[in-house]
Amino acid sequence: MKRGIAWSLSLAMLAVVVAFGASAADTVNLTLMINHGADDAPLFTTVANNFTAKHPNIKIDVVNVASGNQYYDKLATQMVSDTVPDLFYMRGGSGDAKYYDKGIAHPLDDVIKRDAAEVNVPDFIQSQIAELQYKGSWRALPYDYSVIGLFYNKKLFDAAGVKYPTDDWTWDDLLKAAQKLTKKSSSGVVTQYGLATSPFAFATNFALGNIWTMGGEMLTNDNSGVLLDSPETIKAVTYLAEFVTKYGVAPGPGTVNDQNPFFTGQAAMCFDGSWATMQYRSNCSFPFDVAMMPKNPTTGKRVVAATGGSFAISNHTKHFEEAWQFLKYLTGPEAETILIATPIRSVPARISIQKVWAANISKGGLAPKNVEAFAKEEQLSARNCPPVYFDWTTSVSNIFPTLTDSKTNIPQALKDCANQIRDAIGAVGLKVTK
Amino acid sequence: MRGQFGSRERTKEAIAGYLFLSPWIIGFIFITGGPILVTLILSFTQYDLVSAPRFVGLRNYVTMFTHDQLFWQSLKVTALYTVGLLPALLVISLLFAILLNRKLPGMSTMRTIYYLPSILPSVATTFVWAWVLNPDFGVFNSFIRGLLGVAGPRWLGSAQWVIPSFLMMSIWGSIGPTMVIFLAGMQGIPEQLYEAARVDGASNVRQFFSITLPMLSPVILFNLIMSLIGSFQVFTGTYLLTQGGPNYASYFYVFYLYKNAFTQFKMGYASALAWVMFLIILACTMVVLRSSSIWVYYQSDKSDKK
Repeated sequence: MKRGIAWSLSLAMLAVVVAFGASAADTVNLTLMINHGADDAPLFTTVANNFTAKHPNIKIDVVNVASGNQYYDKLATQMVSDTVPDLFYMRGGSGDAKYYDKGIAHPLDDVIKRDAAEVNVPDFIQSQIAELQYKGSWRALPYDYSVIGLFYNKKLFDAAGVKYPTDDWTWDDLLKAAQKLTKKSSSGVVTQYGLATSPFAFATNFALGNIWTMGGEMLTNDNSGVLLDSPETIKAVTYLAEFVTKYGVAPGPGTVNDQNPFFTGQAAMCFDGSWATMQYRSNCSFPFDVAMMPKNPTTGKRVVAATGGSFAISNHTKHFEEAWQFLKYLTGPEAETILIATPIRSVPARISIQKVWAANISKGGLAPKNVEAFAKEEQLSARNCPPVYFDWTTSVSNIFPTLTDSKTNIPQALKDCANQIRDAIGAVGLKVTK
Repeated sequence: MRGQFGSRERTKEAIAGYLFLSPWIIGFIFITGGPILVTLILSFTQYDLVSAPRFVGLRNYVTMFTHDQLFWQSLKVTALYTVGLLPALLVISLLFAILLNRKLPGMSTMRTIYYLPSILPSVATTFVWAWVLNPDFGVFNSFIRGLLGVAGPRWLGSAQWVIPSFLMMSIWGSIGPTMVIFLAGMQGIPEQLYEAARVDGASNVRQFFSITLPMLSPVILFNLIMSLIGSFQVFTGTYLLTQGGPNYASYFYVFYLYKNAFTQFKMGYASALAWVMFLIILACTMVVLRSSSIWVYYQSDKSDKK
């Protein structure tokens, strides 16, 4: 009898364990890995909680790997150990294509087609689609889109009696203003630069926009040939380099990332990213604003290099359907509003949310007043940065800084750079066409 | 002396020794040793992190020596840096150690101050140095302008000055540990030697060259080898500030290794690079050790061998 009780008790306990186990299996735990600042991370937690409130069976764990380069080292290591999180952040121009090539991300074509109305691809910025796809197949949905603009210190412009930059400025206008705003001491030492950043700042990505505007090219349209040493590119690069070498309105090489004399009022203008608006708001103790990047003085054309953030789903996730539900929400209008439009940081990747974002800006009266310049650039003049199937960034980031050194022979330097990129194309087994 | 101990005693002593070493040995075998062995195997393969490693024999090593300009460039840059760093670091640390070996009030505070750079996170000090070296608004060039009336070099932006810039940063950051080891060595030199020398009328300079330097030579050897190994591994500054530039002038070996492994996913090639670096360091260390019989003075030598 006693034995019987013991047996039935243990059976009951087993049943309880099984029941709990089953109910635990009903809840799906997903991990989202992001690569953002400490201020940004709580916004993602809010989004994750909102999603769980609507889908109580899906719990999201947000992991923030803050540091830029190390994020990709981590991703690479996770790829080896097969521990890539269910959803993860990706950034165009950081070798995303290279990771897609290794099969890190789950193809999304079928689900995008199935849920077309919800995903609403026409709401994306056309030029960004290139970096969300790998060989024509979808790998990620967009989060934000980034371009650079011309920031300016209103106080220094007023003091020099120079008119503020407009969205219609050409590079010649920029040069003339920068000359008036460059100040030297009696011994000839520059005490204030017209332009804090060289035209080749952000060499690996965004400087290409300046070269494109001036009629130069780095790669052929299909990224299989190199045009850096073509006469058109040499002409464009020489024109831009002369801002430093001939006119001395911008500092030469030696200023490293994050050193910005603009913040200390020692430069009247600088190029910087749409992602940096919050940083400018907190660092500038003077009135400032932003304008669109200058146009080509002859053709009146403007091309702005653009690349952005996106989110992808691991190819090895055990819960693709749940991850997809969350991905749709994470990159959808509501989350975009919470993450970007309300705090006014960066630029939303959805045209519809760019409108909400712009309305918030005009309501809030926050500087920079003309921050919509970034959205206009993206819709009117953006061109996606070339993907990194092969490593063109090493040679560009090594050689571009030397272009503003007056001792550099520009055609020769560009030829060296072009040949190194040709080698890189060849090294991954592609055919070099030019 | 040794004959007095029985073999039992010796075994006991050996066991105690190994026990004291065991935390390190266990850690080495299970945490470091395994991966080291794996890199040796991987260095004979082509491995992109995702597909299985494919055996390619000696191809990585052959490519490195015959087709890879960046390998030679990174080797050249690293060698240049090492040759610049070692003598300067040793001489400067020794000078500081001599100064801080005086028995003066407040000396321990001074020692702490000179050691301070070594306990700061190198990432933070690297960024501070970037500001010091900023060509337009940095402290260094302001001094040069004020004193000499000419514009200073563009430091990190100049192919000629980028290595000297890194040398300054490294020496400033590594003086601490090197100096402390010198100091400890100096304090181990018996005072009687100096007393005897003073009685014989030897000057301070003579005392330094005839007593301090020979008695310190084993410590110099130790510091030389440690700095040699450290200088081959230089990475932080170029990773944070120059990305190897301008024009590959600061493309250090370990940075190149890192680029191969983590931005180009050439793990097999990166492993081969690591092993070549290991062999180079090993060879340099052997040369230094072999040469040490000429210039290193061990007190025990005479009593043991004669």
